Amino acid sequence: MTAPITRAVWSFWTKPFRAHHASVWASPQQHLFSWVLSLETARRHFPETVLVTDDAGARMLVDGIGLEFDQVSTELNVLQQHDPEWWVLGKLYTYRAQDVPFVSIDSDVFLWKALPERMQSAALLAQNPENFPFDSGWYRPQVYDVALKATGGWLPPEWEWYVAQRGTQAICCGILGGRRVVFLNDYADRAIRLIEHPRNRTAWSLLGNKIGDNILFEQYFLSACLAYHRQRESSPYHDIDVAFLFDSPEGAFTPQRAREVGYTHLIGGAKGNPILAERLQERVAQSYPAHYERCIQFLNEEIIV
Amino acid sequence: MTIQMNSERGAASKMGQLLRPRYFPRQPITAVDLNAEQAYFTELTRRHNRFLHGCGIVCGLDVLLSENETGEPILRVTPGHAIGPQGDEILVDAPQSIPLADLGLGGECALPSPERRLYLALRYDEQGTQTAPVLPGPCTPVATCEFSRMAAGFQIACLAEPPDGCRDAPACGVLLAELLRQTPPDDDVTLACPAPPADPWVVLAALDLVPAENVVRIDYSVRRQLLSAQRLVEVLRCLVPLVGITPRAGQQASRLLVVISGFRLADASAVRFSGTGVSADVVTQLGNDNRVVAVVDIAADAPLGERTFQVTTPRGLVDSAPFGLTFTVLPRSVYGYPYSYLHYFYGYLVDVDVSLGIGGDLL
Repeated sequence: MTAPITRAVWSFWTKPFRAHHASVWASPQQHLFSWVLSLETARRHFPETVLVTDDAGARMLVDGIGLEFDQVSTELNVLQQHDPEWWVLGKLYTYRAQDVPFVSIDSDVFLWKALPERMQSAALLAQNPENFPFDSGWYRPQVYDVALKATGGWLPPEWEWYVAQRGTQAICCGILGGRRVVFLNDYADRAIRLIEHPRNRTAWSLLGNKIGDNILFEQYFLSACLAYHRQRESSPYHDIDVAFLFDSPEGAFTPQRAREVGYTHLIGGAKGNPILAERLQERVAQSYPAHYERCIQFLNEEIIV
Repeated sequence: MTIQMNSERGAASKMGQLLRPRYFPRQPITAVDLNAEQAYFTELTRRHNRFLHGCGIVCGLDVLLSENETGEPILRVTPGHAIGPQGDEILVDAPQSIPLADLGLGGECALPSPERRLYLALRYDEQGTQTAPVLPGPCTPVATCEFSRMAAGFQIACLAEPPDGCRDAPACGVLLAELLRQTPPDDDVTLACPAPPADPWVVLAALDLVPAENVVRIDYSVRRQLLSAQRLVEVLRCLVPLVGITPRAGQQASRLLVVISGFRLADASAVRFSGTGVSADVVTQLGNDNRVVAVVDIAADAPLGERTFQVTTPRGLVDSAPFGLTFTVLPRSVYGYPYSYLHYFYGYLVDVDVSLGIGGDLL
């Protein structure tokens, strides 16, 4: 039996949060409560907790509301000059920085139970696969593929191959991690290069708002990397398989399945749901009253991140 | 399994069965064998030309009315290249001048008249050259001379009747039926391989006399042009200026780059989509002769469905409609799932409220 993964990692880049993500939550309180619950539920299963953020993020989460991570890195200060529309960069930089098996957990994900053993021992673990129609889905790989090629941009071979195959699977990364850390580092590095490559700036400027398409570079590109290396026998990543917590989005949204694995993800519009906002507040107030008070105090003092 | 075919050599011979010399050690070889070798390859080339290229004027060979140094009217034929009905290559390597009075017709010189249309035509011809001695032998004791080479050339002449070797193409209906055929043909509509015609002439022009003006009018409608593969591609480029648009669809409330590919699209200045709600700005620095790149904005309320588009180039407006090219406006698809959807769970149809996220009831 493989030893369980010990490290849980969170990422928080404040620039995109301030620019647009803060408004997704029902209120600023819920955002902070979610951080408390995400860390405290995961702490039961992972002895090592790590936050990768920037100075402003550390002031808010550590100094402000007193979250107790085992390690806090302000490595995301390097993103100070980056376009906040690329919110996914914070997560990608975090994946790239890891050097031991880990599980990255979104701050709107609560692990009520430990991840199953089959996931703890997996080369790669993630929330669930998701498929979409190639020409008309919420993922728009062809739009970006055409734009980059038309403007002389740079594309990694994994992307080119997968789009040419009209690949229609992505991987939902509410949780992402595993034991093949080098693969995750490489994937994240390529995704970062794809976003930051100087030759791609023309396309980015012509395409305008990219907030909704960040998932292409995290979730779609991850699937592209896996599929690309899987069909190349000489690749060191040829044998990597993914263990999913849910086998499909339908499975994830089935309450019985979520209950069985003890998993909550306030995905998409759920962050603004008033019923969930109330439950979240009650849960934190009851289970973590000290943190609850710190959150309220932090917001009352109007400490602006 | 081997299927024994009925040999129809007798019938096939009208297509021109070819014999190739086969050499073997200690074989006496004569001029007959060597000529047979040449004839084999010459005929093979002719057959290739006839079946794969057809016949007609490949380039040049224009017929022009002109005057010679003394002011007499002449016909000028420019240099050019043609393939004759029998598959011969015909090269006219220098301009040809033909005094109108010298136009040959059945061995006589005659001008066209209102009653008599003439056809100026070209054919392959070859002449013996470079004589060489024939050594005396037991049956031919006296030395003689023979031509040792044949020079490829041509003849230009006037014909009273249109030659039938390289003139009429099959009807378009027959050609299209052949191209699209999915079942064996009826006997009467099949396009069999043509037998080599006896007539070697390629018509350059018809000549008519215009009585009122007492001039010769040159009519090109009887010429049959034979396009090289390269020229054919160029013609297709003219006929089909647009060949694609990528992506072929975009969602409401989005911006994307589209690449419109085609021919002769250099310096395109605008792209316009039919209907409302879809606008485009050409990114001129990214375009070239074969593509136009445009930033397309699709409004949130843009009507859904297919749109045609037009590209403005310095050579005119190119419309996608005749080529069946369209761009489709799709509804906006947003990540985060719909608020409610139906799915099967253990065989039962379940309505899941996804506004609670994943496992929201565990809170």
